[in-house]
Amino acid sequence: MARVKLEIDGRRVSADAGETILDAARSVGISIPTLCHDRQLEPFASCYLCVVKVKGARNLLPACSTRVAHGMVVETNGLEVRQSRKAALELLLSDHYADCVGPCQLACPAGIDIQGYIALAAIGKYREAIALVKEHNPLPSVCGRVCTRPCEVKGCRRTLLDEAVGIDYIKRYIADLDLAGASPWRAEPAPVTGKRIAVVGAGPAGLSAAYYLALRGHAVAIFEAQPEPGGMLRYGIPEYRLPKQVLDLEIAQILALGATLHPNQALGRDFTIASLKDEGFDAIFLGIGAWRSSLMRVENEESPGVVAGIDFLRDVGLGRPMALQGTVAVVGGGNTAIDCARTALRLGASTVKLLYRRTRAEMPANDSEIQDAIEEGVQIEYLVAPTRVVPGADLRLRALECQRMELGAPDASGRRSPRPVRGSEHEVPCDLVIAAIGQSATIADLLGHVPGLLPAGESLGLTRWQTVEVDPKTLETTVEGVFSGGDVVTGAATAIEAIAAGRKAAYGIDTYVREGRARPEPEPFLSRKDVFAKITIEDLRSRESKPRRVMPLVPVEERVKGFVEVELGYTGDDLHEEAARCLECGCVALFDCDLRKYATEYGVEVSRFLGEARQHERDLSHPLIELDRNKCILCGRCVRMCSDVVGVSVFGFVNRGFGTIVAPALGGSLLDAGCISCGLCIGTCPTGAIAERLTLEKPGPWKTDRTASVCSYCSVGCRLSFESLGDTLVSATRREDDHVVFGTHCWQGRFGFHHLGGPGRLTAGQVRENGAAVQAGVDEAIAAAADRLTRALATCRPDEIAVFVSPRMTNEEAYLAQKLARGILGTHQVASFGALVNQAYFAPEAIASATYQDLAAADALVVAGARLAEERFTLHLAAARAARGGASIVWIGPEPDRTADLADVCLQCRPGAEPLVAAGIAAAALRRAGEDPVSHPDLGMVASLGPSQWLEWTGVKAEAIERAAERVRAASRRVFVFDADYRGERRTGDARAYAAAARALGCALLPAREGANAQGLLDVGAHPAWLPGYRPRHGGAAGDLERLWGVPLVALSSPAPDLAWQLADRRIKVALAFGIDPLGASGIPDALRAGLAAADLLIAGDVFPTATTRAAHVVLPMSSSVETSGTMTNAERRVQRLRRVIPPPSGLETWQVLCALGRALGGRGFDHASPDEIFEEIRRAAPIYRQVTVDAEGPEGLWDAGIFPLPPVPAVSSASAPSRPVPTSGLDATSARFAAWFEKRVPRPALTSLRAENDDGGV
Amino acid sequence: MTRLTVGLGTCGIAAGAEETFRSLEAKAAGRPGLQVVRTGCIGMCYQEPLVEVRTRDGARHLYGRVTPDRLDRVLDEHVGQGRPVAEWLVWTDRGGGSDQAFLARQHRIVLRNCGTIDPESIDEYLAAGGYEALERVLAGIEPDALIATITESGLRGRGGAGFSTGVKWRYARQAPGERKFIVCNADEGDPGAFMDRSVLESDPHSVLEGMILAGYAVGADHGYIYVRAEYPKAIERLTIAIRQAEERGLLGGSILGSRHSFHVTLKEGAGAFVCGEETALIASIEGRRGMPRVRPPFPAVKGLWGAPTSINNVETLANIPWIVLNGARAFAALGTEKSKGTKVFAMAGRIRHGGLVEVPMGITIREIVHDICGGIRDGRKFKAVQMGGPSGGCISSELEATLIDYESITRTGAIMGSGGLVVMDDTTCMVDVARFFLEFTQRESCGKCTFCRLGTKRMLEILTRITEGDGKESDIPLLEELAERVRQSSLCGLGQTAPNPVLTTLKYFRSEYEAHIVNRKCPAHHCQKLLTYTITDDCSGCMLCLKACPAHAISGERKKVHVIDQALCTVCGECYKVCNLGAVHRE
Repeated sequence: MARVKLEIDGRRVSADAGETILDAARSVGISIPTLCHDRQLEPFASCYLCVVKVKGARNLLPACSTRVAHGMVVETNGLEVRQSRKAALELLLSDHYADCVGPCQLACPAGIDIQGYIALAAIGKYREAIALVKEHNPLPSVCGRVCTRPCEVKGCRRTLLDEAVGIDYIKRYIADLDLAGASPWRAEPAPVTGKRIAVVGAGPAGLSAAYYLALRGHAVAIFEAQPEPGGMLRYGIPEYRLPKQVLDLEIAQILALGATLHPNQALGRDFTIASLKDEGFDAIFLGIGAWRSSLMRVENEESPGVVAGIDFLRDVGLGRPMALQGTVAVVGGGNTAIDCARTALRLGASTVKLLYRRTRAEMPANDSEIQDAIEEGVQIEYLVAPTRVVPGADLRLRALECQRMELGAPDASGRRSPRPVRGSEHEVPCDLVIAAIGQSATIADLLGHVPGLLPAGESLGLTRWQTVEVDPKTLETTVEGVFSGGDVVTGAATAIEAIAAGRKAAYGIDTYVREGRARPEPEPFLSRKDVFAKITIEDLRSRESKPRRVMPLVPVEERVKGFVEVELGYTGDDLHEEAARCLECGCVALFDCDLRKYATEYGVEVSRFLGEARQHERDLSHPLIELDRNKCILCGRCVRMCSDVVGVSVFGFVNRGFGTIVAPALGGSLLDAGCISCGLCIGTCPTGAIAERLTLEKPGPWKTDRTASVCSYCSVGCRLSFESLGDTLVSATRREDDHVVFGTHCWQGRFGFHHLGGPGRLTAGQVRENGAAVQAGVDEAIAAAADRLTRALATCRPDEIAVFVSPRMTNEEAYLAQKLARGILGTHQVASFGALVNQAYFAPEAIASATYQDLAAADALVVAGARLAEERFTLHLAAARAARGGASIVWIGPEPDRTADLADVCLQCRPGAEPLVAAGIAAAALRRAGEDPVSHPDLGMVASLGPSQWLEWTGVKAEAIERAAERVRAASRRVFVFDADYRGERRTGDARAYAAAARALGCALLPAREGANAQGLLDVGAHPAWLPGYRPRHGGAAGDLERLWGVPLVALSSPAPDLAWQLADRRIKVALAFGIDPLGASGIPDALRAGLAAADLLIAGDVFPTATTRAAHVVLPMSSSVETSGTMTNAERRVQRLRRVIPPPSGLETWQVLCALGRALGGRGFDHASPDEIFEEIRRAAPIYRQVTVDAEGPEGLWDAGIFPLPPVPAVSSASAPSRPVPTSGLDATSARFAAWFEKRVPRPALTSLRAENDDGGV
Repeated sequence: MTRLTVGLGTCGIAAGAEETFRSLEAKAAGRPGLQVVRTGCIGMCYQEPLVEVRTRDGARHLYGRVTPDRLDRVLDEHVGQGRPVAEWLVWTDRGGGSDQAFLARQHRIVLRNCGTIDPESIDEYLAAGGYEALERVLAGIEPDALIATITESGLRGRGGAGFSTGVKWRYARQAPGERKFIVCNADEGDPGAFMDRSVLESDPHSVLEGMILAGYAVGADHGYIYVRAEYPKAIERLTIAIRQAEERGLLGGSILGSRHSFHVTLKEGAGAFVCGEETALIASIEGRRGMPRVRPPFPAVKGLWGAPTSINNVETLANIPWIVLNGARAFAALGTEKSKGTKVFAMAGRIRHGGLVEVPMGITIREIVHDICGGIRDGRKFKAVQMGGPSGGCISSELEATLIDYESITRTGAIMGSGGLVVMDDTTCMVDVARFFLEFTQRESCGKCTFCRLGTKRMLEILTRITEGDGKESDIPLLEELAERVRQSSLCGLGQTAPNPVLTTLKYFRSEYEAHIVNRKCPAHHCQKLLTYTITDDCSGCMLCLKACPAHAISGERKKVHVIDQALCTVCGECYKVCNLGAVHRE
């Protein structure tokens, strides 16, 4: 294609003439946002996010659909462009009735991902849960006790239904569990920066700031005036609510990150801000709190017998002995007042009266605290305010004179303000008055009394409330390098607000010391339902009411005796029940929603275009796929993916104008519309409108890790991205940029991995002793296996030993297995059990000469002996791609399927006649080319058939064959696809017949296979006939291997002529079976089964317990395909990289087990450190792999089919050949489990054809 | 033989012409020498039912509002005694009749047979020179030469965009492809427009002949007529015409013995406005949702079923036979430098003579409104014309000297469009006009593009709140911003032009918007929620308004001045209507 030169953002770019601006920009790393474009789909141009400015054009142009032209000058990110994109996003979001995160998270001052940690706790991932909490709060155990819980009170939507979820108690549970563990979770600090930060005040704000600063690699010094850290947490909150031990433990966690604590160091007394600066601190955080009690402003307030609330609590906190008696009057209605009252009770007061000037409804203290206080005996009087302290004799108090109040009009805070009732003065007799009516900051005093507190020339700005003035986004004060937060900024507030401030300041300080300027933390865009409408009980009508778990408390009579902690904490049961109550208000696509990503990037203001917004019900009718139309932006990607790529058209646009929606065609559910559950719609949806219904108890969402790997389901080897969270596999998704299968996958690949992490895995070894199977550690099992093998080897011949491998094993694993067999066990008898069973159909010479790319780009395609739509779905999609490109498709088979629907010529034939029909087409083609097919070695017989005979044998009319031949001949890029493990009627030599027909037709060949690594097993030598790389057993190749392995191989005796016979005759004494279950699988000839069971020593390795492992003498646990790294070779001969996604439950990957076994047997060359090392050895052993590229990403590429002639086909076994091949996918426990998992959940419509009958020349 | 024709277009039928026709047939049954013929619409829709009397001498007399009871006099006096009934005559070919001016200033090419021939008779079409053009072309004009003629004539697409028809054909002809298609776009969707319907109902063969010629020029042997299902009469007459043409060998294989074959399929559209857009129309014919797609490739290269396709509007096609017969020059002689020939307009609104007119390009708006259509009704003040339907715009009466040609109209901010022309007077609220058209486009948006689907919705919400008195000062800039973005960032014409009504009213009548927003007043006294009614001292206390008020907001005693309780008043305007003394004041 012609190249054109253009300019994008000032850069010269060369592109193909047919390319779009979007493609051209991407190719040079300029990203242009788009929501409606998917590189798998044709340009659609509907979201108008990708607009760019093209010089000379009147309008902005959509880059996704505008083709490049020579000399074009494109600007992708100018102001005009950005404004247009912003407006597009604002419009989309003006009709987006959806919550990004739950209201709980929005209500939390610290913005903790509450839904996330609850979901983690629900699935037992406590460590991950606490890690998530600590991203925003380093004091979760403390907060779990003292927090005022705005998340529950203001946030939790469940309050509309019944009661708030016990969010705080759940947090306390996981935090306590973590602290009580042997090694509490600890974040990994960033590398040391060399910057020094001083934190003044070790209260919640200072501790939080210190924690996040230390995490960023800074050296933090904390200065605290009191003897111990904690601030108000320690000196303001009584022990019975927050045991000091808990506080100590949590502070210890913070200090363990490296912050140093300097107690008894008071600002203004022991140091100043100026002195800190002089000492070289790069920045200072000021978090000294608000420690002055507000005055009651009544007569005689100075009398002895009147104390301030926080002074009272602090003295108790400092351990100063204090015995109370008589009546104590506490004035105030906040948490401090309640704390004072309950503390007074515990210190021996006979009566505690709490006097509050409003009513219970206006009381700022937590409801549960008030309740507890009342239960403990505190008497609360409402609507009273003190007017005078009445001193008594002997410096003692007589009473507190009070006045009755009544409530007037609401004030600025919305609370009704109290007004005194004239003449209602009365005396409340008491011995002590505790005034807990508020606190204020003392910073102004310090500034006034301590000269030189600040560096010369600086002044600290204060607000009119005498608190420190800060930039609300960075918490910078007016003094250079000094930041501040907590009560000293806000006035007396809550712990969680102080913690949030500490974290925010840490962000500002971090940017300040690194970049010289404090930056606020970027705020991600968050869509909120309540912008559009108030959420009501109506919105929750589908939810069941379920009461909240009650927090267990110490009995009242026990409580008041001392300071034992009142709340006992949730049990694991409580936690589970409470977690289940969470309504999951936030969006499951939170972390990968493109709409949100761009909305953040472009700083959208949702309010700009607010108007009518539609509300829809979620559609949960599909067991795997959730539809939430509220989040749909009508990009049409699902519609197009389903119709253009998948060819099913489940989705459609319905209605017009603003009322347009995307819905399953013809209404109803996805399944009614014929959904085949491939899940490709989920992958293409740019928002959370189409989401996977995860099988986990709670779907998160969480930030998951993504690992690019390949699917191990079948030989197509689709590329998948696996998402994991720690050791849990969360989902498998498409790889959009994949060029091998064009970013597609099938239902097995998308949803079928669930069994891998499922219950029932083999996590340890097993050794049979005296007939009884005994659990054993992996090492123990390996040692036992080695021991027994050594003994057995002493008495048996090489042809009595066999090693069976599975095509679900990696190249590295299979290579090690055959190396073990040949190099240590001294036998060539290593084989895939599936190939052994289906020897009659075994056709290793039929290797691919076409790639999937060739298939998709073909202009003639012959599909014979394959059920692509059902079994090799992504190849079916590639064939559909070819059909869209105008390819002529000739389909041959007895039962038309969806692939047949694509065909130009559909040749419905008698079962088993497929190879004959293929040969017939080849013969017809030769005849058309003027050649005589009768003399052709492969086609002669077919060519000489008479017309009636032909019709009788195949059921296909000759004219149809002619038409097919004409189509194929007319094309230039021809590909022939068949399935080497076709499940229809088969005969010996079918594969060879297909290969011959393809050759005669001039088609490149693509044989699909069942086993994911069926090709690789043969490539690396897991076959008795060949050494790795299809090299002969004798001669130079053996010598090469001897040198490579350092073991003699030339003397190795020949294998038995037919391993299947050998097994059927019970002549195998020692068998090793990896990843297969011949004893449990169906369809295995009884003789083979019995032969294996009769072995003297059976060593089985597997992922799950199976009939075979149950019968084995030694069982070794294996890793599944997501638990190990290595390579697999797909049906194209493409060597692909498999990456470990999660750790194997046994701790060892299969290659490690095999290496260990090799070493235990005394073998040399089994000390590989990684799969990469093994692959390097494979490349040396098998020269066909030498041209596979190995770079930082690992091995990748087609192996070289040109080096060797096709391997000689081994003699066909006559050992009980079945009339149909045994489905090899059923040979291993993994696929059996998958099938069971899938079948149980998804009623999937048959993928049979839409074609009613044969379109020509039918049976 | 005296020929009596009755206009049986949809307009005529709606006015009761079928009754007139039946009655006339019955009365004529007993009289020899009388021929009663149905015909289509002659354009004077305001005078329907119309009956034309063509006497033996060829003289034509057109009678208006001929209800069956008027027939006897016409038959007796005119047909019987040769004395035309002067007071009912609206037009004669001798320069008489009350509405002579309506037809006198017109130049009828597209409408040449409309209202004169029987649309259900191919013979009448043939007698009027029909299919002569086809015969002449097939007899020896090469496709390229035909294309050259059409190009030379200067004919531009009458669907609205005004692209050169000859050039469009040439693209389709030159595009590689085994099969090609002609599509006649008869999905006339603009509110108030009925030109195409009239042509199809009155002269379907001229469209068919145009299509066959287009097929010959482009190299297509198949044509589709995409017609709205809401036009049953047009569909009926097209079906008859297609059958007749096939019977005469004018459609089908080897037309008139030539090598040219052409088949026509009628495809009924389900009434989506957007299906008038070429690519959406193609999708709809193909059985998919009518949704525009990215261009290029243009339909001329990749259209219906992926084949090169020329899509032409009804009116465009009806011009073709005339151009072939009369020559490119005769056509090009009409009109202005860049806009040749004539244009048919559907006249509606506050005009005295509403109906269908065909005028040469280059005539002024004033001439159409005042000279042809008789000016504004009820003696009110001419305020504006709206041209081009929802895609068009309002042109202030101050610009009434504007020439009717593509470029001049576009310069005003409106567009030529397909021919809808709505005349407005001083009782029309321009904000409400914009709201009306936007409501239409936002409802008819296919929903694909963000700005079209949501932008027009938000614009409509803003306009609605302005007309309801809830407008904000920031609304005008917001409207302008949205209008510009919708115009810029929409895939097809529907979205790109949807803001035009808003932009043009803002351009010419901004003060009206401001009055709504700032003063909470509608200067045209149209927007209900902005009106207040009060009763002046002129009230005689007749109690009419008091009884009429559905909200019981008016109190008062007989012979005493009444009072409206503003708190109860629902501003329905009933009092204003019933007051005989003009004592109800509205502002």
